Amino acid sequence: MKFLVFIEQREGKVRKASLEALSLARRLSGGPVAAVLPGQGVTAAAKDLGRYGAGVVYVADSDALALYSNQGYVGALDAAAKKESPDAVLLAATSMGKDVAPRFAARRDAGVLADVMDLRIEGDRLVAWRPVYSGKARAEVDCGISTLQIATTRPNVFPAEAQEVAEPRIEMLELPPISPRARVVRVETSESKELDVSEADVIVSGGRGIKGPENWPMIRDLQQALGAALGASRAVVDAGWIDHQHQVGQTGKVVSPTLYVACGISGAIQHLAGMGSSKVIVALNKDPEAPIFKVATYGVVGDIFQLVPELAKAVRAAKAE
Amino acid sequence: MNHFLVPTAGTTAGLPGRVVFGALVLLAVVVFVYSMTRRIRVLAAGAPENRFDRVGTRIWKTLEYAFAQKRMFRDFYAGVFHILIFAGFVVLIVRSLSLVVEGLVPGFTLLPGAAGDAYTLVKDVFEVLVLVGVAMAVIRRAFARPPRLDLTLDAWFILFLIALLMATDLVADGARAVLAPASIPLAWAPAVSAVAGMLRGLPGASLQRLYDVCWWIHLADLLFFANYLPYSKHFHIIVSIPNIFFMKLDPMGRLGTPDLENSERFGVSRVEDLSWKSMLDGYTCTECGRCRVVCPTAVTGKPLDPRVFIANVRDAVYEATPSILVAESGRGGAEIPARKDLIGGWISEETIWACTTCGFCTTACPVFIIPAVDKIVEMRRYLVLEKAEFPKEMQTAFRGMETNGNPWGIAASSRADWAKDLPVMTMAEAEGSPVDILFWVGCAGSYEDRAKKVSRALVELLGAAGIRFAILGTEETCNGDSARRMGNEYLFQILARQNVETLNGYGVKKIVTNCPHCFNVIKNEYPPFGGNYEVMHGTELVSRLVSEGRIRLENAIDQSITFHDPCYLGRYNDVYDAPRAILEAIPGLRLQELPRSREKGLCCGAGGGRMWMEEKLGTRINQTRMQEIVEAKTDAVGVSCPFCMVMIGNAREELAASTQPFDVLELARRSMAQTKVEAAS
Repeated sequence: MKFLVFIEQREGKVRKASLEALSLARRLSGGPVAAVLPGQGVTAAAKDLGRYGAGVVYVADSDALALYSNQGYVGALDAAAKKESPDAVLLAATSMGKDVAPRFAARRDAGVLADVMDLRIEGDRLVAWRPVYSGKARAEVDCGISTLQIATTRPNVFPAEAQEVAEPRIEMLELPPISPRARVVRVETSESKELDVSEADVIVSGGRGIKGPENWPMIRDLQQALGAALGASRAVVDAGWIDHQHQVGQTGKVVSPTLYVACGISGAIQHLAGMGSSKVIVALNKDPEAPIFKVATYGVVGDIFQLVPELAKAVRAAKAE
Repeated sequence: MNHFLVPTAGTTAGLPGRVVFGALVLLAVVVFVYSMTRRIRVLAAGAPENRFDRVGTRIWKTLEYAFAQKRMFRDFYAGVFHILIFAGFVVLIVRSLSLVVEGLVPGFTLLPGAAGDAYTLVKDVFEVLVLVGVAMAVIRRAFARPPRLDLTLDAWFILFLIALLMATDLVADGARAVLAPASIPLAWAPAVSAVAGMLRGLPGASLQRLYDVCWWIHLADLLFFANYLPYSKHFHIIVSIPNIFFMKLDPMGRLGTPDLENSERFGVSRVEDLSWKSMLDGYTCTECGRCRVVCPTAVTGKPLDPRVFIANVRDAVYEATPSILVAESGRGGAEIPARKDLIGGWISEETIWACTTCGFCTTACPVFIIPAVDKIVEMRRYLVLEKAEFPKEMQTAFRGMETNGNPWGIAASSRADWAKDLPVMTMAEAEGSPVDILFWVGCAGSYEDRAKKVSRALVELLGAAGIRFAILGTEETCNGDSARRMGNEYLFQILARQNVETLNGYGVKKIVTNCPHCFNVIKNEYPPFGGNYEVMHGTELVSRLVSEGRIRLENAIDQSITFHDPCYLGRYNDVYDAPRAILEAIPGLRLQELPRSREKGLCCGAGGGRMWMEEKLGTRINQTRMQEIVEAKTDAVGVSCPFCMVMIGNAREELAASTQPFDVLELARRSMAQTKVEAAS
């Protein structure tokens, strides 16, 4: 099966979610695949894609593509697909991927497997698992009768595997000029450098059990080790230990990350209402009766002042391997 | 009778006195009729609301609260001077009428003979009593200055006018008594006699002059006073009695049920959306501030002050009056005056979302204005149903209630999990075999950890008493209290209809629930949806079983305890004694009342959907309440509502207080003799 993978970059830096899609394509096809990389000044980044499975990279490098434009980016994908004639196109299910995939699919009259968590090949068909009803159930789907098959892969689900291989062949795409009907005027990034809990895939939260705001560094350490966002229970927000933007729960943010680590949070129903649908919940609490253990996938009864630093150390050690 | 003594018998400013006086009276009547017509026409343009039913009850309530002024005496001092002034006004209407007619028709006597003599005495006494009342009011305003009052110029002015009315009448009559002793039965007029005693010795011309001047001032004051009222907060002198007559007779805990299918506008966003009774509430407010000092949001520094809220509603009505009248008259082309928006202009959205619907303002108002709750919910309906503008955290609760039938959004299928290991059957399982009562568990009782323990306690108490009961299990869904009071009337009606259908399907007659919010809604708000049940709160049923000896409370709990009244149990439904009866029946437990208890109980801060919102403004209501509980220095505090339990529990942690909160039923369960629990159901 011939794959083409759409690669997304920000300021010349390829996003991890696209590398995951690329690795997945190589694994499924059993060899190098094609990739398309639109943007401005991205040619350098294209070379590195070889390590993740790109045998050929179609680069659309122009000023018009400096900022995201759905016509421009879909046009690049379309042009690459015309040259490559793939059987399957993969994109990461990011905001951009979710915008590009349906537009491209509509142009080609193809089906899209959206936000998939598992993908395999059966005969000449792509078959995917995707979550439905807020993750309460999974559906097995394929693209039906369409010959071109498109899938968007959920970030942080598939591994991005680097290998030492030869540099990919770079092919520059010459795109006809377009008069965009909609264009991005500017990109504004939020003031805070802090990862927002409602967008994070991993969250480390602290509750009353941390005893005081002076102990945030300990929680922060685990948060950084995991590359997570920092969450908090209502009690500590009310106590003024941390800003309301971190509050997870009924009256804070409702989140459903892949991993939620609750440190010293008893798990009042108001808190559970905000994070109960997380995929994996790890609870650290000294009270074995704490209700958080009823929803936890993994629970450790113990002193968080010992457990959290140990866990951070173990995470770092595992990541170093 | 000495005709010549009436000042209008001579000439005034070169014109016959009677003509001048007649013109003055005519002008006063015309202006008064004009003012009142405008005020009433605006009411007629308000939204309809039937307040002409149950006339007998209304008359009785009017006697009780308007004439006997039962609620006024909660502030004894104010009650005393108010009834003095009020009674004086009622009595002196006859005097005023008689003076006006006398001025137009010389020699006229309204009450001749013995009736006149008797009235002279009454009038004499009451004029003095009114002066005493005014003096008391002045002392209060000048020296005591209670915080509930705004010391406005308007109030001073009115007190001055009243004092002037009384003083001028007494002095005029005193002078007249000296000039023509036969014209007044002095034996019946001690006060006038006293004044006459002071005036005796003045030359006749001076006395005549004094009499004339006082008579004219008195009548001018009278005519001006009547015309000043419709433009002052003292309009209440005219509209309080009708406002009490038209009071809400439906249960306090029943909000209006709009027909959503056939409505094109939802809730209140403009003055014209207010019902005529809501506008009359505004007219009636005399800014006494009794609501202000009891309101949990006002006392914790939030923007909602019910006294200001109602004055703003009134001022909005006044501002809108010209444009409403132009629109109503149908005069095309007439310029419609610009005005401030009701919501966002007169009343901020923060004010609207602050209310806990505790109802304290409503029960505090002596003239039965519903200062906040019903009107605020109407405004929330507009914000939610029309504009979808509400604190964003409410969305979580709305969605939870919509999809899973509970505000936390926990799976509906796990609603009965709390009872898995208990001998509890569902109505579906009990089908065919009769049960005594349905136990309505509620969302908190089904899902919230602490409340689940209370549900368990009630199950064990009922079991011990040999009561056959069942639950709805997963067929139960949120009663809709929070949805309704947060303005999502659409969601409330869906939930209410669904629950009524389920309950009626099983032919349920009796319901017990331990959540005061479920209790109030099922008892008071389901009847308009065809749900009529005998609803008891858990503490009502258990206290009855205790008094009947079916539950024996024998294990001693050696603690001192105080009790926090839930608003929707106490204030809304008058259940004050049942929880106390249980606490008092437990051996060893020593009940001590809080300063603010029973009718005066302070809200925990969770009502009106505030449970599902962030409290960002002012100080925290639950901490204010907890502080009071801590100061009672008891070992424990009894509560009877799962929301109160959460709020009090949080405040306890936040304040690091040692006072432990217990649900009354948890304590009853602990104290219960362990006998028949196993044999139950």
